[in-house]
Amino acid sequence: MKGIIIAAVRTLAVVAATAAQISATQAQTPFRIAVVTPLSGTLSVINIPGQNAAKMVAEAINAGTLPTPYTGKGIGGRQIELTFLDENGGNARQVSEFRALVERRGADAVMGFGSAATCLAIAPVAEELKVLTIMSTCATPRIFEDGKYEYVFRTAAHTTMDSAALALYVKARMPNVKTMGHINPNFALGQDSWRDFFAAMKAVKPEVQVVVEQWPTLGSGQYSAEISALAGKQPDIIHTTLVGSDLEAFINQMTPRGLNRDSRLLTPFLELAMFRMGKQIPDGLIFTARGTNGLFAPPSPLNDWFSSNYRERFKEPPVFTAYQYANALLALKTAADRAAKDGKTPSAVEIAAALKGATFETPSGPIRMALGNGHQAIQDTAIGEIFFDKTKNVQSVRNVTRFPAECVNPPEGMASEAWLKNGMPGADCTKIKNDE
Amino acid sequence: MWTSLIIVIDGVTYGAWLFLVALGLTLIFGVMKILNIAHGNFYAAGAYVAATAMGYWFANHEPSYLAFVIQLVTAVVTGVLLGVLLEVTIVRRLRGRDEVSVALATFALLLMMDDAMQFIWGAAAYPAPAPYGLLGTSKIAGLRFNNYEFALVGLAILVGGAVCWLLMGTRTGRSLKALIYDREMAAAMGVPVDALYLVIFTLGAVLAALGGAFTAPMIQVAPGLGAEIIVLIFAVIVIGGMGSILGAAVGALLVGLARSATIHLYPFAEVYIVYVVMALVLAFRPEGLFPPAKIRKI
Repeated sequence: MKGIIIAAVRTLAVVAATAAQISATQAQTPFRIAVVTPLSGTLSVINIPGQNAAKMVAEAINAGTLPTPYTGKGIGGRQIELTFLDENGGNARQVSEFRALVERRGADAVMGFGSAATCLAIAPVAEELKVLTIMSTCATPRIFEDGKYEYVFRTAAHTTMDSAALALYVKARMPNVKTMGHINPNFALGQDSWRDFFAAMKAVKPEVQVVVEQWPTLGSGQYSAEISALAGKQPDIIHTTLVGSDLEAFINQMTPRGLNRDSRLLTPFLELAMFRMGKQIPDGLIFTARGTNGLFAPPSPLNDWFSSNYRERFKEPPVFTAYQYANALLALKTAADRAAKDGKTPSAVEIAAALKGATFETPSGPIRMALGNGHQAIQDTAIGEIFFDKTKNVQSVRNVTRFPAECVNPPEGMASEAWLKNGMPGADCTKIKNDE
Repeated sequence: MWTSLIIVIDGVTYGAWLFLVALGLTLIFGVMKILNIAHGNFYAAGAYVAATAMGYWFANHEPSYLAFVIQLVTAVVTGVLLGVLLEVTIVRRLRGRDEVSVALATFALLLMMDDAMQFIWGAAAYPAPAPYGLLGTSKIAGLRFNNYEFALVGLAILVGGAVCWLLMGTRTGRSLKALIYDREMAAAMGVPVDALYLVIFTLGAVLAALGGAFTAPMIQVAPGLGAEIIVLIFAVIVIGGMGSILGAAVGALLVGLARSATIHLYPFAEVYIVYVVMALVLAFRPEGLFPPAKIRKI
């Protein structure tokens, strides 16, 4: 009997030691995050800040140097290992590389994605492969409105928010607007953005007429004829979601021709160009930072840490793509830390369950996974007007209006297009604020 | 009335820019029978080098007409260096191979040069706006136009005229014609084949770099520039007839005017108008509008 007890105790001790060893090994195994982002091609320019921010925040998470509320080293107890992969090359290539990435390299999570088309193509594949996928940047509302996912999340608000906020901004600050035009790239983001902005304008200022439309090819770079067509109609406002080098070329070409003097330009993605182009951008262009990111970020210890460290390390202010990549990592840390129990490494299912419907702190304020059955983020946003601050010799923002998330995002269960077309029902805009 | 005039102005300025870049491609094909897919990289390299040089200079100087000199010099230097290097090391070895193999080899070159440029200049965009505002604007039909774009039309005419003169009015041009029609016979008659191929390939590279250098102030020079332009100029030379300089000029003008008319009248079709024009032309003239004359051997 005594022998049996001793044997049982020995066996238990061996099992316990083995379990502890496995647990320790798991904790030492890095949490592999593949960052899929445009490293080449037209969109690479605008995603460099995101790549910078991902590296910086991952290092801080590993070292445990993030400010509160983030404590502890690593993600769910494991050190982060980032791998950067090029998003350029089309959807077919992305889908096959995504499969290879998960099946052969064994990524614990995938994040990034700049292009709306890539996000739409990848989401069903990620779901099929059951790999945790955090979309940080792409902005089409269709992902969680057309599909239902368990493993796919987006930690940035979609473009409906930008369009609703821009329309409300025009209504409040430009009451005399009667006509509008647009120049949007002829692909998913451009089409979705214009559709949303048009619907939002019809909801808040139904009398405004569209007098000119332009649909240039992505990456065309030459906008002389489009500028002539826009200038010929002289709309009161012009909406454009041109981005990156396309937007910069458009600004270069339209400024000498005075398009911005005859019409007010609404350029949601201007922030990505403003520090690089500096004085080349004329005063008065209206922009957002796709949420309260960048110059619109509310003061907080987390934003102070992020902004000052980013400036110091990369010699420029962080723009919204930097915030978005940082926020995706913070969302992962929040969920993985919450899911980690008794030092046990959480599985993808457990992390996904913890992230679903979660609220987490970021440098751009709190983000809530409030839409798409808890998989799509909403956050506050702000709109302002660019000007060159001669006293500080830097681009800055004035005439800022802040919109709470509940005012500019559709309620759960309602598609963006229907919400805008129906006049934004349920939008709580009582807390809109104008900065002093 | 005014809309028609504006369509013509926009079409001609766009067409002139296309011609400036397409000229080198059609010249190389016409003489060497090489469809150089990497031609777009000469354009991109010209833009990058000019933007970098102007960036250095105008960081500490006010914008001045010196910018045009910088553009010209950097384009020539870039084109000569790249042209000579690639012709001697790679293109010369492709001579005599079938056209598909050559196209594939130059496509590989395009991918490698694209990556090399990103390695050198990074993924960030390079601005070079200094010369763009130097020439002021003109008001036509109630709209302001940038005179820089009219200057590009002048440059395209000048360069096109110079190349035509080189081919038709000089001894080198006559040697080139002999080379085009019968390489072996030309070589037997003492035409320096290798040297002429080197000159033509380098001239093509310089023309593309010139297009890039003078486009740089209008855009932000960024990765992917070469790959984007090659599809467009390929369409231009196919429309005009591959190897024909007159064809490249007419093709560029046709594409420019069609694109401009579409932008003003039916903007949603801009994405595919170039290919509609190409399909229509090829449906009726499979070898393009002005295919170079072919010698028939009996």
